[in-house]
Amino acid sequence: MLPLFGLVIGIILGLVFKIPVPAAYIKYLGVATLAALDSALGGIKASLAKEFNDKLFISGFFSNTIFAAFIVYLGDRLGVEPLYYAAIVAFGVRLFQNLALIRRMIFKNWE
Amino acid sequence: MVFKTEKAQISLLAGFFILGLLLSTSFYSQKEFKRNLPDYRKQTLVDSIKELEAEKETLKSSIALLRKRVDLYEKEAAATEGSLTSFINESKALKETAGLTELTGKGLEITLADSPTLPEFENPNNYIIHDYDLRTVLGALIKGGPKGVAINGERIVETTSIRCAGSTIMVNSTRISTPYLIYVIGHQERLREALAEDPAFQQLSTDYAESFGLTVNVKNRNKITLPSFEGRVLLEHAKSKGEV
Repeated sequence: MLPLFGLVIGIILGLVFKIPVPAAYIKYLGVATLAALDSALGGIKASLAKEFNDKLFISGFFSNTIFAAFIVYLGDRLGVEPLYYAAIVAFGVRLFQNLALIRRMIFKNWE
Repeated sequence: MVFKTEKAQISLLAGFFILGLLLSTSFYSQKEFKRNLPDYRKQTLVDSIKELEAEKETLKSSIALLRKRVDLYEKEAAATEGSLTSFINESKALKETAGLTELTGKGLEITLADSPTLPEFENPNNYIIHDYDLRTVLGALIKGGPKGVAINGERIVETTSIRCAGSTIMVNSTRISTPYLIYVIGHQERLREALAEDPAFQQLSTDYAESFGLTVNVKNRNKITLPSFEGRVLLEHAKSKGEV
């Protein structure tokens, strides 16, 4: 319940403060958000599986987010803009996998 | 164990808090970005261009109407007051030279058009007719003593400007686009000679036309009617020093 509360508070604060992001960085922010979403779902999955490690979670959360944005930057710099598809695909696939695992675990806990 | 889950909950809380912050910021800035998209601005600019062009058309037609009324008054005056007749005839001749009346006569039709094909990986600028090409043609024609010239229905007068505006050309501040039909009234042979003698026109009509597929045609026409110039002719910043 607590993570959900955090999510809601985060969204509300974001909407209230309306942090201005320059147009050039919107792509970076989008991919970083995707990475954060992936890490967050990974955290839920781990805690449901009772193998949650807070150090792993927090370090993974930040390194994934930062590295995802860095990949976009690298692609832009190298002229290989599609490089950020790599990040999108990797995070996207993991996202759905984690979602499926979470669903399974919730049903298992129910029974 | 309890302590550990507590810690887990807190780190999850922190993670989700940042996720929420990122999500709402992304949503918000993406929305802002779409609103500020160049396309959006482009559309408003296109709308305002269209609006202004419509306004210009109505103003032009009101100028034409006023000129007709001036003509009418002049005719009436000529009929009643004999002393004015010579002035009115003079003003008529001046108007004709200035391009303020329609003009009919023999002359040439010069067609300039962009290349129908545009090969990839090549400079597209080579394959289209530019404002300076039109100026080249006009410059070449001057030696042939033209009586009047019009490009795509825009009469060329002393204050005419021909300039580049993206993929179109502005003549008399009116947008025209390919193909460009230049009608010139004058002595056909002399005009052709003038074109043939001009090196810049020769380069355009042979070298460039052949290498890049531009259309450059010159045809004789026995009856050409040029429209009158419909813009303003008053000079705003230059002042006459009087009769010399």
